[in-house]
Amino acid sequence: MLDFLNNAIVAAVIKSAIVIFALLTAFAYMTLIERRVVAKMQGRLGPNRVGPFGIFQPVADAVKMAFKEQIIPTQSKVAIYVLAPVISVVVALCAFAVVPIGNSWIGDKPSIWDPIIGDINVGILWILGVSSLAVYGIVLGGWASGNRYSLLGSLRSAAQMVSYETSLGLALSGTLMWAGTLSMVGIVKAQLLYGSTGQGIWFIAAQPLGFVIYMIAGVAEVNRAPFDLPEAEQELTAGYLTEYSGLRWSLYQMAEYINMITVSAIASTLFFGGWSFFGLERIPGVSILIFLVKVAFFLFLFIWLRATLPRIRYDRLMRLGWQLLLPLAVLNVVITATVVALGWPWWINGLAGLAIVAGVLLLVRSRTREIQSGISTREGTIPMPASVRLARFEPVGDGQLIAPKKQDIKV
Amino acid sequence: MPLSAYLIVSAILFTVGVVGVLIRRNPLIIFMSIELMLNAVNLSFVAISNSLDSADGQMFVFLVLTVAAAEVVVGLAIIVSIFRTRRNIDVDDMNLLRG
Amino acid sequence: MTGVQLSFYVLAVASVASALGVITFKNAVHSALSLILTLLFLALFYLQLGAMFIAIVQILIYAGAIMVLFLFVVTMLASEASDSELADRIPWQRWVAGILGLVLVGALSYLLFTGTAIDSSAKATGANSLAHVVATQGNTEAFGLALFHGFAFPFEVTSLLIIVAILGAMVLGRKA
Repeated sequence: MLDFLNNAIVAAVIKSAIVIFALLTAFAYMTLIERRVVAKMQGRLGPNRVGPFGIFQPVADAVKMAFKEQIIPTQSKVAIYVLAPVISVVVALCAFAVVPIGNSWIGDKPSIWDPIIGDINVGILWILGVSSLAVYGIVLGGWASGNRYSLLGSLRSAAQMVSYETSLGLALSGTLMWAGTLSMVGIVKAQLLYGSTGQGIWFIAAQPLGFVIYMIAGVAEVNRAPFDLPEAEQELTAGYLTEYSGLRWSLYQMAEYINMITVSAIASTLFFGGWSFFGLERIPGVSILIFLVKVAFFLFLFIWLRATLPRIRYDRLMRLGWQLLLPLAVLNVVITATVVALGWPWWINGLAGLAIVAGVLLLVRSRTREIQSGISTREGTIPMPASVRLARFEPVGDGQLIAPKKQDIKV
Repeated sequence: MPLSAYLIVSAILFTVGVVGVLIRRNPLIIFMSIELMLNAVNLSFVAISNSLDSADGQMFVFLVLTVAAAEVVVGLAIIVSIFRTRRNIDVDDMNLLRG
Repeated sequence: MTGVQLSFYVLAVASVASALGVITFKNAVHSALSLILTLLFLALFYLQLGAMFIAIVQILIYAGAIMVLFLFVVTMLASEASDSELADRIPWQRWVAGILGLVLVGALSYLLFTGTAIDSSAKATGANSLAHVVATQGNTEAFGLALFHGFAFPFEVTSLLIIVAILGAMVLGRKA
């Protein structure tokens, strides 16, 4: 009677349904956890009224959202306006299809009921390709709203995502060289079985530089703070979200959170050994827990970043992407290719990567220290007390440093 | 499916691209029609590669993809710079050698 | 009718319909969306033909990067330029183009049906055949082996081409 469960298609459909349900639940509770954690970091309480510790807050929010009026502006292009949030969510959900959530149930024997929907030969490219379609939801939504703020938000988003996608892909290619495969399961196995004795490493040890670039580009790719320029409230009145309300607005939020989960899942799979944890993954079922803990850690990192860093300025965003991250990613590819081609051990690559990260941080630090000590004018540097921190005046126009005149500075 | 079936789809797509270049006046849409032609050729490359059981056809698709990317980058930059100076991008109006 | 045939006909009709959409929609954004659909259908065609890597690269590069650039420029210019094109100065061109297009399709189809079949000696066999390499090495590996063994030089030349294109775009995009 249960013979139909041996069909691979039936198994894939059921697993997809479970994963989608889990992702939507995770989205609902991520909103609550994010509000609580950010509140804690800012010395507030956060939502704690609905149920114990506020755990029914997502339900209350969902009910509120469902009963809100869904406004369709008269100047909008209706069909695309309605379709755009759906594109965002569908694309975000599709990307999760190749993520290995856990080990095979029995030993190393693959079966159709393993906790991964589909292990395809080009797994990581599938994630990159599908998530590169995510920008359409935002661009089309912003354009179809018929509002200048929305259009500006969508243009920013398109430029930002195209710019950071290059660094993101290049940062991952170092790991792929070590793994020698594009399949997500293959990458986890490569980390488990690394070395002649099969002791295994996590690729973060060989790829610290790649990991740092990937995380920065990943935050930019999902439009989270400090790179949330497409939806900047202060400048663009929420950008592409301006004209959206009710359920359509929450669809966009859902897509953003699911993309965050995907970025975290890729980070833990490619750099932190996926579902493996020093042999614990051999106990059936524990591998899924290990994976969830790793993903949760990265999600916490996203929230932490949002609570800590102010939004970056747009020209700086572009400069960071093209002038710092992209050359560093290319450098990482060159170093990794050399090490892998010559058959050197992994720690050479790791040390080189760490040295570059430390060098860049020191460079940034030394430049900011110089800037904070005072204002340099033509007559010399005006010293400032240590408690005063000044923004540097950036070159604008034809490359002239614009510093305030002495009489303009109020003491 | 026989090879000729794929080749005919490819021929139809190519023709649609050609007609698009001939009848439209918006350079962006002319550009898209050119992309359509490139893709039609790609389809026949992949179909022939499958039928000959050799990877060479797929290589050409890969090269066409990179060439298309380069072409689009330069072409769109030209269109944007024309729009900046003339505030109009109808191809019938682009008949002057000076800006 | 088998599943392969059914999917072929559905894909053929869908891709031709969306391609016609590209050249008939008045609004350039709708044309771009239609082209994106065509590209995704073509990716499904490639999947059907067993070229999985090319199908994913098609989505990643064409649909994910090139068309985003298109959409970027179209939405940026469409907000300032008028939605519809100016009055056509050579209206008869449409009819002539349509008739010539039909002639082209007819001629190509005629040649395809009556021309000589592909020389079967050109078909790769044994260890050289794509099916064999895919079966032993995997799809991506087969592609990589072919690319870096037979096509290393063209591959390097395309990288040069991309550098030139980047430089060209920077020169054109600079504030004049």
